[in-house]
Amino acid sequence: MKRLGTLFILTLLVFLFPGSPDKTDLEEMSIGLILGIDLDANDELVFYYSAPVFSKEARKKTEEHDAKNSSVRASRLKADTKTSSMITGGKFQVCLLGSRLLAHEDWFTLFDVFYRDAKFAVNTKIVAVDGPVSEIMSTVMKDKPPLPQFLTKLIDTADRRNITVRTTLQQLHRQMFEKGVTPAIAYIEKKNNIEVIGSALLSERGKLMKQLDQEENKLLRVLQRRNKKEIAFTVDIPGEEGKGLIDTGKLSILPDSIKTDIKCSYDGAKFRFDIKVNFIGALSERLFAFENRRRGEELDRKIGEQLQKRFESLLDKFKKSGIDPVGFGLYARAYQYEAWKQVQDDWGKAFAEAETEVSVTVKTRNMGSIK
Amino acid sequence: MNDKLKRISLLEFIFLIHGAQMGIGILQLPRELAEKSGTDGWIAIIFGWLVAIAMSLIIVQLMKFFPDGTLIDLIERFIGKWAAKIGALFYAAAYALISVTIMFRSILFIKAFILPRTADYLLFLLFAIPTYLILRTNMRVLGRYSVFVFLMLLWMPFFYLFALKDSHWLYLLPVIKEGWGPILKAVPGTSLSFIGFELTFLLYPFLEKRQTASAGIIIANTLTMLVYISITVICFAFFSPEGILDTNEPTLSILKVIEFHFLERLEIIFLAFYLFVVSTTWMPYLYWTTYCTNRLFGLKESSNTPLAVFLLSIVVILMFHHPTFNENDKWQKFNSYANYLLAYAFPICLWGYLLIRRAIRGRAST
Repeated sequence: MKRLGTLFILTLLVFLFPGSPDKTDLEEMSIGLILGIDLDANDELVFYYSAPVFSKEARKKTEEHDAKNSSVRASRLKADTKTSSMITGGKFQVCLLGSRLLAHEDWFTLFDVFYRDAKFAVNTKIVAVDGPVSEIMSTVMKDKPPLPQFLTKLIDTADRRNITVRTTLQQLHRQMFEKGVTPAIAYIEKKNNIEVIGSALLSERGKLMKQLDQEENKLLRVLQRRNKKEIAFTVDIPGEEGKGLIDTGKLSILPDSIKTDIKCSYDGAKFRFDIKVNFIGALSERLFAFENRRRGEELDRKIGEQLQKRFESLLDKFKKSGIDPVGFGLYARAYQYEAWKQVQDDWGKAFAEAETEVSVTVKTRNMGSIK
Repeated sequence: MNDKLKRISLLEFIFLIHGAQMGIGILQLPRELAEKSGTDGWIAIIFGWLVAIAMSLIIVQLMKFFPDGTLIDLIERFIGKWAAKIGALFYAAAYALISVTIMFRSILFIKAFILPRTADYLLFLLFAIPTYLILRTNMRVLGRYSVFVFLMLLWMPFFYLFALKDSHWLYLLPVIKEGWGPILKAVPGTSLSFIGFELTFLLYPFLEKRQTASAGIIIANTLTMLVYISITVICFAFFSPEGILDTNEPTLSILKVIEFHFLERLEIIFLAFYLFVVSTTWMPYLYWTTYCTNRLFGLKESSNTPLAVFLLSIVVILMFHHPTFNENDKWQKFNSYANYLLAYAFPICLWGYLLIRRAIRGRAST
């Protein structure tokens, strides 16, 4: 009797459980890999999607759609009307933001769904586009992998070379909410090909304030202490340039260790940041004659001076626009908490008034295989 | 009670308590601490741990008055039969609600993260069947289950180390931002995170070597404290002080950033495994509920009827009632009051009463 009862319950369960309404067939899904958000000429929001097409007959391996609407979620429903399948949002690799959108503040509210809906991935890379997003989305490249794959790789490798910042959704959330730092995202443009410009620096509320080129971006990464291994600096050494077109006094170093030390102090009226950057590395290229053995230290000093100038002009650029992509505010909070509390709601202004002092030391460990 | 098969070892005792402590609370603990005391919240965990250890030791001392029985036996022995019935009623009701709150919360999490459209009662049924199978035999099976789950899921904390490469330790500085006030304000909350030690009420008579109870409970509390503090500190260093306030379950959300070439969305797998950990919370509580119900109605101690009826009725209730996070929050709030009463206030009063009683008796006999 008891055995019969158990058998009955088991049979019942077998019929009950497999009917999960949560199953989705891959054939019926269109996996959105790129999401683009932009404003059109009439300042209406437009959303773009790019998804791979799994079909032997299809000549192009991705499909692109756009939809005008007021929110990410609603636009997805609208885009569904144009595809033969349902677009899912859990796999976005790249999120493109057009420059018309970034000219406005508070577009970040659109991002609510990414953080609220647990199904969204938060490692989506945020990329600003110089120009309209549609230009990028309509790009067809014959010698490159499909667009989603290409853009992902483009940002990842640029990040490894330190020529852009790889800001993901999760990091953007932090940069937006954190008072002591302003957001910085990757910046690309479409010329003949899709190229990385560097990074786009946003205000605390998301407006595009400044852009950094690739060289400046390396310095930013050094200041953030987030630089990846593959980083090289080329500087002009004054007084060593020759007469020709080619021997311009250029020199490259390949640091293997970069130490950044930031100290924060407060004198009662303004903050002061003492930044010490210490490069140790190898000389990788020198386009002028120089007696390295004898005057090595002099050369180190000259490289340091050049880099120091670059850091100074970069910091001036930040201060002039009242943005702090490095996160000096974090140091202010950590070491001068009482003073920080007074200015935390308007850190950009306080930082603009702050004093910054950079000192760079360079030590070339190794001049390479030739003199 | 003296049946050898029912006895639990020290290891089982430690992990039963630790399992009961580590529940659904850790998922939101970092945010709650940040709301109350900013990035200094982790200090409150240490204070909560001290309070919990003190209370655990009091409970062990209390149980020594009648080492061969549970709390209900102890009440019956020293106060009376009806007091024991009333005690059983309160504990059964409170712990039934606590276990249902935990199970419903788990359902809500599964629905939010993994299976949004699957019916509540089906998910509950999936919880109920293994729960019944484990609880129907005896305490020892439950003890071994807790040990097994702990050992099986030892790998889980290590994933949090991956999140460290994207964290900023500067967030934690300066260490005491606003003085001790906000930190102390969070201590009542953190002392509740250690709820679970009061299972000693039930476990003590089953323990093989009772002299190790104090050591065991300190180890269990410390283990829990270490987990809480490391998760909280990592979450604080990962989310910014403002960003963490916006995140409901930082402990889960932090896992979303970890990705490997072959695996993304780690938090889904993690949550599915974490249900095992949560199950070691509701199971001892349900065991305790069943035990108290049996005592209340004078059933056999090993009767499983109340458990089966209880689980089935929840399945039926879930066909009509759909839990929400807000409702669950209210229940949790109510449970925390019940916990203050049943795990903190009542044992202290009872212990005080027994101490005074013994002092009076002692004087009377000399």
